[in-house]
Amino acid sequence: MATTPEYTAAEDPILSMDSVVSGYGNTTVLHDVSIAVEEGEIACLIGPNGSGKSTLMKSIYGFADIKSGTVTLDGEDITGRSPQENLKNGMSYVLQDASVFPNMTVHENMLMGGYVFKDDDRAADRAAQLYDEFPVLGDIKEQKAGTLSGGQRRLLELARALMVDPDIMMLDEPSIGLEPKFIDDVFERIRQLNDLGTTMLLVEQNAEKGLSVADRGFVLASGEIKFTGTGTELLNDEAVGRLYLGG
Amino acid sequence: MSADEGALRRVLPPERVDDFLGACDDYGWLILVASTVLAGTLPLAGLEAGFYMTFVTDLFLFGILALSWDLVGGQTGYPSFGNMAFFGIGAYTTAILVKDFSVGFPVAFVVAGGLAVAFAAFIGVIVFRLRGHYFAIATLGVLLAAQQVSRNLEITGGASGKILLDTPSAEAFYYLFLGVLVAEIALVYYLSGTRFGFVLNAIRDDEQKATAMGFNTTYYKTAAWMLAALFTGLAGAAWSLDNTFVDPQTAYNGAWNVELIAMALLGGSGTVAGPVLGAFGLHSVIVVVDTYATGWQLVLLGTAVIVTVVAFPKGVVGTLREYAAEMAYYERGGMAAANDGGDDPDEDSSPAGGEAG
Repeated sequence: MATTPEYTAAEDPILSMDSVVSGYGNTTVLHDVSIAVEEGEIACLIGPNGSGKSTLMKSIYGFADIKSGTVTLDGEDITGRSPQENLKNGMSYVLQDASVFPNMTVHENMLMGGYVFKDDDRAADRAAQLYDEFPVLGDIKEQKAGTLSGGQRRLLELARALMVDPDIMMLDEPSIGLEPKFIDDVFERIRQLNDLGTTMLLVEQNAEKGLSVADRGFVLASGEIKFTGTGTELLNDEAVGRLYLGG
Repeated sequence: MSADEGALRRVLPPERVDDFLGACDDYGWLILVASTVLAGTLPLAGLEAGFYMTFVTDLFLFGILALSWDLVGGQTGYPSFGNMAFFGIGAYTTAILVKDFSVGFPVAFVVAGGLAVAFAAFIGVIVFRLRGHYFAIATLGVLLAAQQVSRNLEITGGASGKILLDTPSAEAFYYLFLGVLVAEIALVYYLSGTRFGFVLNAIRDDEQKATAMGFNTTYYKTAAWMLAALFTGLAGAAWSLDNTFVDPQTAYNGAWNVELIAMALLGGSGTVAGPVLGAFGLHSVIVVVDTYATGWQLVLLGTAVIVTVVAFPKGVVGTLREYAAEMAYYERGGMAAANDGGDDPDEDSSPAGGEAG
């Protein structure tokens, strides 16, 4: 692992993976992966296709099988905990594929995001709060989610993930499938949410964009962490640039 | 836009339809109460036992059956070809209890509903492992198996069925079917705005995502299925005595099962009013054809299904909704607004002009 001198590893991480080996069934995808993210940071994971970026998130969230190693959230061992439990404990996850329910309205989609808690009123109150924060969504709340544009849909996914008022959010490829002007918009939102105190872990195919907003970056290849540093460091690193940024 | 569509827009502007649908949403409960009172006073206002009362009673019956089908088929996305099994179980339960065990009809009626629900819970565990076509075929199998069992048991009267005498009056059944229908509409209408209703819709849209969001989908699907079985079973329970005769062919009527699906699709699957209106409309057409062009009803039914699926895949209510929403869409600026929507969080939503409209 090549670390540049200015970079300091997270000392008191809110989220960390320690020597995790994981995969699906008999297939192992991640080999001895360790990462650590400090509270309030934006961390970005980049790497070529098939390097295990999505699997890393799924391992944290409880969708993949962890064979050895531990995942820690706020000092607590959460290895193998179910997605529902993680959601209740303040961690939300926006999947890579469009995950809105197309024949339900924006508002119904939002409520679904908050129903992990038993209290229906809590979901309705939280949705109202989020419409104040994102007036665009409030305006279209009675529209079917399937009729939204790509940018609106992504915004809905982000807002729905905020229904549980998460301390930490994991976003898998937030810019995928969007026109360039929406990509800037989505990253602006990510920064906005981060300013409000949410820790972010992103997986990003658009490595330059992802690293440029990141406090901390990880480069994953063949299921191993190859480089780690601040976003700017990785952006300027010659080896990373040559191998993963196409320059 | 063709000239025809332009003419339609002048005669029936989308905003008018939008206002109408909005009013239906706002005054849903009031409309339900008013319709119930109206239907309840018909016999007092001169509707006497006979052809017309039977006709209206059948409208209520099919309304119950179509709405029950839609709860699982339309709201949850599991198209069942076996709902009539619940109907048959309900029908035979009252027939046997009343005729062979001299049980009072009210008690038999409740037991019939309970048995249909129990049967649904048991079968649900098996059939809800399947999806799509496989689910449809499996439920058809359940219907045929139930029919075969009734045909071969002694207690059910075998293939010749049971003749039932000393049944309550036609008026009693008119009010009973009306009551069950109103109770079902009220329940489905209430549920459509709750967590339960949303989860059913989410299962229809993408069951895996619903699971990933922390919902036990098997629990919700089975609960919806049991609810559908309850109302279908109650309808069957009342039907056998009203009909004074029950046999395997009519109690487990596969053709009726297809009619229910056609009614729900015609009216607007996945809505509350749609399946009921579809049942009223299609059954009326069937009765007219039955009277004036006997023998052609199945041809007509087939044609209606084909026309609906091709021209109005969303049914009457769904198509109206879409037409009404068109206006709001253009008011927001059409595609132009849809594309700009994600740009600026503080963007004012005032109409962006009709440049795309």
